[in-house]
Amino acid sequence: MRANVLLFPGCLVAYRFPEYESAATVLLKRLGYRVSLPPYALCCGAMLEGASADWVNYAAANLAMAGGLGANIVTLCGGCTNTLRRAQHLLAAEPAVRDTVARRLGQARLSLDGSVAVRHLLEVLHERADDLATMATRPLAFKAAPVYPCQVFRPGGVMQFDHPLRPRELTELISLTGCSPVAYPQEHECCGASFYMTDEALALAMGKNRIESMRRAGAAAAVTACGNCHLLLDRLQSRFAAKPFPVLFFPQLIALSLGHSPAELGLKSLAARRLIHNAGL
Amino acid sequence: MPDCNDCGVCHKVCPAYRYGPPSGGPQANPWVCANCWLCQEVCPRKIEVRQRLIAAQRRRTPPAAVAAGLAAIAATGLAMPAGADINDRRADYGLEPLSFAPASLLKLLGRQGAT
Repeated sequence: MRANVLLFPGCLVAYRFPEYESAATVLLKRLGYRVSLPPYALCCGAMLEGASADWVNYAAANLAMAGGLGANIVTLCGGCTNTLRRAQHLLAAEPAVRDTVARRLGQARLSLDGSVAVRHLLEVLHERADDLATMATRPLAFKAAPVYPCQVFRPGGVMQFDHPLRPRELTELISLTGCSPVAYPQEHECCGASFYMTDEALALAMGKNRIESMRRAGAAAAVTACGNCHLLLDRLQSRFAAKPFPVLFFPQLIALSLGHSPAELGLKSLAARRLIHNAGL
Repeated sequence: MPDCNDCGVCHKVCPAYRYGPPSGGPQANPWVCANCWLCQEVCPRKIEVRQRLIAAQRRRTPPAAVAAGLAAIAATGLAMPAGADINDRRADYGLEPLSFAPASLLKLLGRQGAT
């Protein structure tokens, strides 16, 4: 892993979840990485893919900007990870597409760089789990349910990270904080957040189902690793849950166990503050 | 290229069929997709099911929320109504401000096909 990382916020995190990006930055810096922003904030291409073949131009521009900085890309959402990795795959497999894209980027003085690695923050932190465990001086002691960002793991042949159907990394990262990971029936299912753009009722029904399932399994909080999952389960939660259920981004949970303050990590919601109070922090 | 023998495994795992109305799902509207890639992962014939769905999406008008996102990308580079308030919120968390892409770059990236 290169020491230079371009932390890719993506549209949703840039717009709604600076606390996720901030907690990720805190951890990457504690692990010794030099963290930079993309020169330009640009969609990864995910939203464009269903509408047009030019999605790959956006993905490639992001890859080229990282290459220009000599950095690897670290992503925060499942969709961005998936799109950038598949774009790399497509550009490597299809010379005609690569040539067209390279010519286009050349007009903006950007060049494709095949050496840029794209990794979700989960992958980076899991690789450094031993270091994080050493730094975790404030063990947490509540039960936490993982919400896996499915697009990070599938299609398995392209993503090549963890198990495509039953990943474990988030559960293992929750363990290093002192929290007990909670298994529940939907643990390895999609959260349904993408439906929010196409079938809102379906998304909200799935969010309700998942929160209720995590509660029944004894979890005191949910732990997310994607802005979309977090949007549905946290920001839209009041539309389907009678009682607030705390939802934390996984770097917030880890940074808490490393001694960072809830205020610094943006843990402001009533449910999160109550969780932290009950945990004696 | 192998073809589908209607074994139904992709339907069984699809969240739209498991949690939504039986008449719905991506077969009725290819945009009703969770983007979870399970269908493609479990296909015993290794058919690129999700890729086929993407091709079907391109033949349909995108839903309003997606259309709004596409318009925002064309205007700012981000799929959200990005403005200066983004950087105000970032400053509250000690994050550096984001720079927005120049219109010339967005125009270049939004063009399809050969240059």
